[in-house]
Amino acid sequence: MVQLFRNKYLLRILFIFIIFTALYLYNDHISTNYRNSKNTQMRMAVVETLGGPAIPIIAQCCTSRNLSEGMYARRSDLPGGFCFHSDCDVVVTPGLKHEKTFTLKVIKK
Amino acid sequence: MSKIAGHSNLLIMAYQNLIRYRGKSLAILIPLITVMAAASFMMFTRGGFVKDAQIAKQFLPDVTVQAIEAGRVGKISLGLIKKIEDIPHVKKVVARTWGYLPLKIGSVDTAYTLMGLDIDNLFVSSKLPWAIEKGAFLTAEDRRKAVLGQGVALSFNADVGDKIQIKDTLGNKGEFEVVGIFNNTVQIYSTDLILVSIDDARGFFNYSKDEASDLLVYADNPENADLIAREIAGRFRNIRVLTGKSLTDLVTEAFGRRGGTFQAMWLILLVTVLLLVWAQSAHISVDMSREIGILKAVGWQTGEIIEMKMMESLILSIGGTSAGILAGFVYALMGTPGISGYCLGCASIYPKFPVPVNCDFSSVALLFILGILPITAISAIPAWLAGIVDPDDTIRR
Amino acid sequence: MFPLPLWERVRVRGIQMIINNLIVTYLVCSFISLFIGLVAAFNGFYVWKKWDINSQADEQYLLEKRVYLLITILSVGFFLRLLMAPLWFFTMHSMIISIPGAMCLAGVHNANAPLSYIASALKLVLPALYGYWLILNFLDRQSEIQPFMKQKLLFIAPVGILILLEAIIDTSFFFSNPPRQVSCCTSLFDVPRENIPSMVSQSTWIWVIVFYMLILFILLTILYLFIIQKRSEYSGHGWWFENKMVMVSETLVTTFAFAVFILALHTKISPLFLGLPFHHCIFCLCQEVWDTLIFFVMIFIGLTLFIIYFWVVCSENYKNVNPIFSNNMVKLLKWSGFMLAGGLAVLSIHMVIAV
Repeated sequence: MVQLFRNKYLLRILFIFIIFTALYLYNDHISTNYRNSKNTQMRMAVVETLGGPAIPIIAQCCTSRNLSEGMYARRSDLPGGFCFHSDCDVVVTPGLKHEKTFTLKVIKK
Repeated sequence: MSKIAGHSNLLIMAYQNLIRYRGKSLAILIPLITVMAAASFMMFTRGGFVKDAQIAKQFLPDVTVQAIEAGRVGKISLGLIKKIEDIPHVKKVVARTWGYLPLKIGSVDTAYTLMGLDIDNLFVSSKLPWAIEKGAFLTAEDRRKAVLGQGVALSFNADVGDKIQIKDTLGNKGEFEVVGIFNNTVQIYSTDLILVSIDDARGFFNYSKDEASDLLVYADNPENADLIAREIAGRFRNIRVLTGKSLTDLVTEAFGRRGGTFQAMWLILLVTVLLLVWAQSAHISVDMSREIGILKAVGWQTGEIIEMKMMESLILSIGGTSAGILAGFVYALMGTPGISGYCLGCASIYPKFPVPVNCDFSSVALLFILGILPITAISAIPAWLAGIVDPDDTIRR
Repeated sequence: MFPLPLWERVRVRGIQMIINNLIVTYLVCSFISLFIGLVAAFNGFYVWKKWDINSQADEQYLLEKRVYLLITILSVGFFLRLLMAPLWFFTMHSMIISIPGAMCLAGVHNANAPLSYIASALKLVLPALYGYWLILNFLDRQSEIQPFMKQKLLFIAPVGILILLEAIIDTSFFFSNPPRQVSCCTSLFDVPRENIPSMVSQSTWIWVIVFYMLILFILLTILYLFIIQKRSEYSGHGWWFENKMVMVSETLVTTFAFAVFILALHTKISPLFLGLPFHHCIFCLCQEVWDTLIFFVMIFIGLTLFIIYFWVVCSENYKNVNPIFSNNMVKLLKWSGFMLAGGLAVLSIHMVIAV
């Protein structure tokens, strides 16, 4: 058994396995763990205060930002979930002629 | 013990063969690492969002209630608050008003969210100040004041103290002073947000005093969420009820589907690598066949040659998959530069922000299955072709 | 849980399917093993027809070369299929959130019954056949005369057909998930009093007692066989060698023991371990109580190895080769005994704590 462990090829495999385990443990218990990660605590503070906005970055295509694919109507289901899909498979490029278009201007102090 | 020694000798021989024919090995290894890195960064990015959503489950309101008008989400009456508060186990009900601002930035059509919060009644997290990069969060007395997400602030070059004026083509307008800007870390939830008080949002969207977009219901115990949801659905008509669990499941499924679709497309790349492996392994050069012939002449069995060849493909697949996973993980941690548009959606209008990355055990296991098994299976026939080489034919050549 | 149409439908020419990483991985493995199974089935049948170890013809030499191909690809294929058995259940588990009404695997199965139940049953039956072939091949390669070659080759075609059937059923299940509400395990097992499943589900200790009796009987049999097998290394004889009646009866007893185990889990163990006196569902049990999977897998492997032992020693020519293989058969019995005893120990400890 000792001879087996002295085998350098086995040691290399063991080394890779240890690296993976360390990476996984670091990722699972430190960088994505609520108690140990300040970033996660910050994000959860926002979720708790705002009452759960949608993640505004999931998209079927470049003109949509929609979390609520599986829910009714796709549009306006959750704050942040907004899309121009007329059907799950078809993307309608928004012309915005029929939309109430807003303009936003910044007045510097 | 001698059997294990025998197999480990074959493993050493296989490893040395790979080093000796390093050109052929690299021709398989480099595409394999690239392909596995592509699969792994997508899985880890997806895993990060899903884990975040699972952690968020305990911070979400237990039940969210929306009104349905003719099948679409509409305005909900605040008169429901008292009635919902009468339901057992309901601790608090908070109204929320929000809507979209379709805006044009240059030629790009975008939609930002304007959200009004009832600061008086809201559960404001004690850790919220950490999430504000500049300025401060709204207070109960604030009127005509807004907190912006980083995406809004950077897109319009707005800073604390500036005023933002929002107008539509019919003349409806609102003017808000920027009092705070969310930081980079919380962008995944706040990048497109313009946060104001609930009265300001009502005024902007023409909601009356007793109307809101939805109601956030908080239970005395999260275990009672389903009970409350069923009760609300049973008592009131024309409403939709969402539990925190269903919102989390939605994220898991949305990203699961996204990951699955990507993986299905990624299979084309995997098939390319498999064809490459076949082409490299099935071609047995004159030198290699002579080598095998000599091995057989000195006593090696056909089975041992086949085992050695299979071990070569196993070493290549394990090594390539491991290196690919590591490379993918590092690439995901860097925020997937270059192709974040697919991973993150409309990232073309948002600045780069940290993407949560989660390297979970099931993703790694799946990656190893996808990286090792197809290559090992495809190498079986080339290994056999190498094993059945006739020693006298090859040595005489 | 609140019903919402959380469907992620991918429309591919009218086929509706749920898609995620696990399903794609499973389908990839399925196609690879299907391809291997087809190649092996055709070649295996051809080689079996023409095989004659005593022949000096060139054709026999070419057949021997082809046999190496068969053995290589089948070893890879069967190992892959053994890996796919637990992957199947994990993949079904990942579909729970995508099927409205499903809270555990019972709901996922109901989405496309009876295909799903047949597929899951095959995952419990076929690993025994794959394991048997792999062990037979391992033993066969240790002897120069290769005494089990004919059996190995004869076995390939039927197993190849079963692999084909399994792959077709699995693929049909994944490619056809109509968007409909399913009932959960409570309505299937607990609520309707008239249905057969709920009649079988009555909370009773009978099945647990029968299971313990059968397992203890099997463990004592293993112990007895272990002692005699060790002695037979020198004498070359065991009264059950090449005895087909013993093989059939032991297979039936072991299969019955497994069926009783399932009933015991369903009727008494799941309500006891879940802490829900009126809820009988093995799937919920495996989902909520983590050590269930441990003792389930250990008992399943133990019983399977026990059956495989009898299939090997009761096959033709075994008496002649027992001196060569006796050590390996002793190891097989040891593994079977340890797995069964270990699984039983975990189950018993948990039962004592729960009661």
